Amino acid sequence: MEQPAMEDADLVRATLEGCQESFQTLVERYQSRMFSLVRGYTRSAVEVEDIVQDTFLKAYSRLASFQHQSSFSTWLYRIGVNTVLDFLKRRGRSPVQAVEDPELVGGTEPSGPGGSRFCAPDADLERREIARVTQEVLEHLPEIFRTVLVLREFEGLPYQEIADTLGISIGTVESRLFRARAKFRDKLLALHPEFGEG
Amino acid sequence: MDDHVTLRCAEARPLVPLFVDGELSGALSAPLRRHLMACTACRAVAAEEKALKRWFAREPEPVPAGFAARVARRAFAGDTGSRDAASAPEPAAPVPAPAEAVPEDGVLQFVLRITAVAAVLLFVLAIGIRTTSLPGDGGLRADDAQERSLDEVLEELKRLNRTAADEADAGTTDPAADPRTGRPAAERERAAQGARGR
Repeated sequence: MEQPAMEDADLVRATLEGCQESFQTLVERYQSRMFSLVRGYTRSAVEVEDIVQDTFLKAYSRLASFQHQSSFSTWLYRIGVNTVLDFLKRRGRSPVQAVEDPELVGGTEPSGPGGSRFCAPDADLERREIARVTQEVLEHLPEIFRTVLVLREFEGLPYQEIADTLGISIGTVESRLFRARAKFRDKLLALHPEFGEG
Repeated sequence: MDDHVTLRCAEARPLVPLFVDGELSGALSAPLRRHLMACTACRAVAAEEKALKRWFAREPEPVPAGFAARVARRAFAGDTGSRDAASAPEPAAPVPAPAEAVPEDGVLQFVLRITAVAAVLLFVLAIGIRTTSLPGDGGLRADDAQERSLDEVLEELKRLNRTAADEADAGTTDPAADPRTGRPAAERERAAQGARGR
């Protein structure tokens, strides 16, 4: 009879008691998500692996301080986001920083009728090409916009979990997502006008 | 209740991203859905939000084989990941403490160590120079003087008196001898004649 999967809290407890297999199980459970998260920041496969490994090593070293006030995944995402940003800064590749806090400056309204409209990728466009274009546009976005887009669009995190991960309010998540999507659209059309219409 | 709620465009537009993200409460979803069915402009906005999401579709990131086992092994061996001086790891009690993070700036640490060693050497040298520069005491030592008790002094005095008395009894002393110097009288006379003859 198949044993039910252990809850994250039980695996954390077992890890703290010295069980290496429990920690390995935790890594296996979240490694895909961490790889996907970090992939939103860099195209280098070597860097992605280094950063994800760093994330889990940091998580292990701080495991005793995990208070279970948030879910383990939220806690891990927080470490992952901080690790990838630190990694990029150390390599001299700081993510684009907004000159002004975009939340203090007026937001960008989405294109309405009569303006340049935004199109979905063509059905014939290969997923690999879509990913390449998306990555290119993301690299031009300020870090706070890229982060919320990655967490929402790639990781599928609900607004509340994004808020918990980044330590911001749900209202701020909504606001940043609104502006991030507008900037993504504008930058995509600026870099690739062929994806607009009208 | 939601059957009676009617939204205007200005009220509906801000709700569209939340609706597309599945974050809108049931109480507002129904009225918004009705509005979108009736309003071409707002329906176009919703369509654009959905089109944007297709740019974020991505294949799951491949994870290198054996990644989880490798990370767990390194974690339990004490590896804390990249140098992160800002967050000191605090492992649980039964887990061996991980090695301290090595500072990234090895040159600075090397210079600091050399400076510390040089400071110690200078201190020792200064002590040595000071010690050898002090004037010598010529071998004289105040503590060489043997302190004698009163009884010892009186005993010595008696011995000297007995010696003088014994010499007087044996005639070995001239009663006319100068009491100050003990010089015999005959010797004194010869010295005086010698002085007159010159």
